[in-house]
Amino acid sequence: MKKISLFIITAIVAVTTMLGQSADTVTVIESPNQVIITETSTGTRVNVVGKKDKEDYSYTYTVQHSSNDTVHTTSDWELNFPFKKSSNKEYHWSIVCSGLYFGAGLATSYDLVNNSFNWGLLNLASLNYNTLHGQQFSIGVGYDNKRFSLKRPNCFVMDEATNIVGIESYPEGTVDRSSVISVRTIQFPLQFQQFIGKKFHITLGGTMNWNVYAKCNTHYKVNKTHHDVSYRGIKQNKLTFDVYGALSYNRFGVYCRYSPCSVFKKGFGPEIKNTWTLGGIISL
Amino acid sequence: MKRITLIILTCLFASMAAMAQNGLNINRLFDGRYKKAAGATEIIVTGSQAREYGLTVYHSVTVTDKTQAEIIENLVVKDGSQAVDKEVEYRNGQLYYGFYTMPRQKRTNRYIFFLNQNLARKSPKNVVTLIYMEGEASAAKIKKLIRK
Repeated sequence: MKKISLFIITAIVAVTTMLGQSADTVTVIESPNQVIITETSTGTRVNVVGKKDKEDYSYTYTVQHSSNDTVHTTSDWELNFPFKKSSNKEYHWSIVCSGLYFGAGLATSYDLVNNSFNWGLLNLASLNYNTLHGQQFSIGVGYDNKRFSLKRPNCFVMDEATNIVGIESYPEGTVDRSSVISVRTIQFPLQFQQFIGKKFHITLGGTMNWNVYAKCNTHYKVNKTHHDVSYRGIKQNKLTFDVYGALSYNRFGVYCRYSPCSVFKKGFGPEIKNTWTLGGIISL
Repeated sequence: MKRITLIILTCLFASMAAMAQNGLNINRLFDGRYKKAAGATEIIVTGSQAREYGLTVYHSVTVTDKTQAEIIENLVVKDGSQAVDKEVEYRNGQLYYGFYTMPRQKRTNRYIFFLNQNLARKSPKNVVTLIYMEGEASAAKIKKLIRK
């Protein structure tokens, strides 16, 4: 028993040693019929089939590639990562410039107003808070410009003594007529955005408007003579409020804005209010 | 007593062989140790994104810590000794890159890719990358996928 155990252990050690370190092998086959050398991915196999005095002779010898087998190249491996970790790391807080918009609408409270045109940048700068779960709140400062034009044949006029804007008919025989009031505003939007998926989002918000400047322009032509009348010092409502909503896909969207406040201070002009504006919005 | 010794020895050899066949040494690198390590990036992709490339698992680790390079290389070389096909290049005695086709498991191809960009000739970078991939994709397809 002792001898058997010793033999088995010795055999294991011998096999292990052979695996770890290959010894030189010399095999001489005289006059082989056929020698097949096969190079495989795991190594090289030499197969001898038949020899001079023994047709059915067969001998196979395999040399495994070692881990030190090398491929020598002159060029470097330019690695391409098929899946890259997003470099757009998301943060809760950010400051952005966004929301260039153009729209047209109607003041529903005043029949004589033909239409209004509205453009601006919702947020020249805004402070955003992203929940990172699809919601975003922001407060910002932006610029807005509104223009209201009158239905023909009416035009705005202003009494320069009292600064009261009124509405009159154009003089007889006038052509190329237009009469508009424009209001420039610094707006302070407060908004909420809900993202649906990665690209679609709904925006709801309100703005506080500081209407810093307003003017009235009336233009017409009589007997080939152009008349341009500008009135400044209009008494516009300095502080107004709007609410709006938008649906956006990626960078483009549509918005609807409602302005319930009157353009003029009470007693200083026609009551143009309850204006609805529809338009397009582009996220910058 | 000698019989017991023999049985123990036999069991030891058998279990060593089994370990070498079933588990990969690099598995220990995918235990999450690099998820929050500075200068390391770990990406795990499964599901539809991986299936686009004929893969079921894509697991990569990129490290910039030089001390980790040697650890990763050693484990990759150990696994590489079990590979059924391999393409390796050594530079300055270190493994520059290795692409290993491991024995199929549950009818799934398995690949290990290692690249030490410290050894690049053109523009060496202190970056070591290890990628483990599983799926139906052929070795040729995988090489095409990970090479510019």
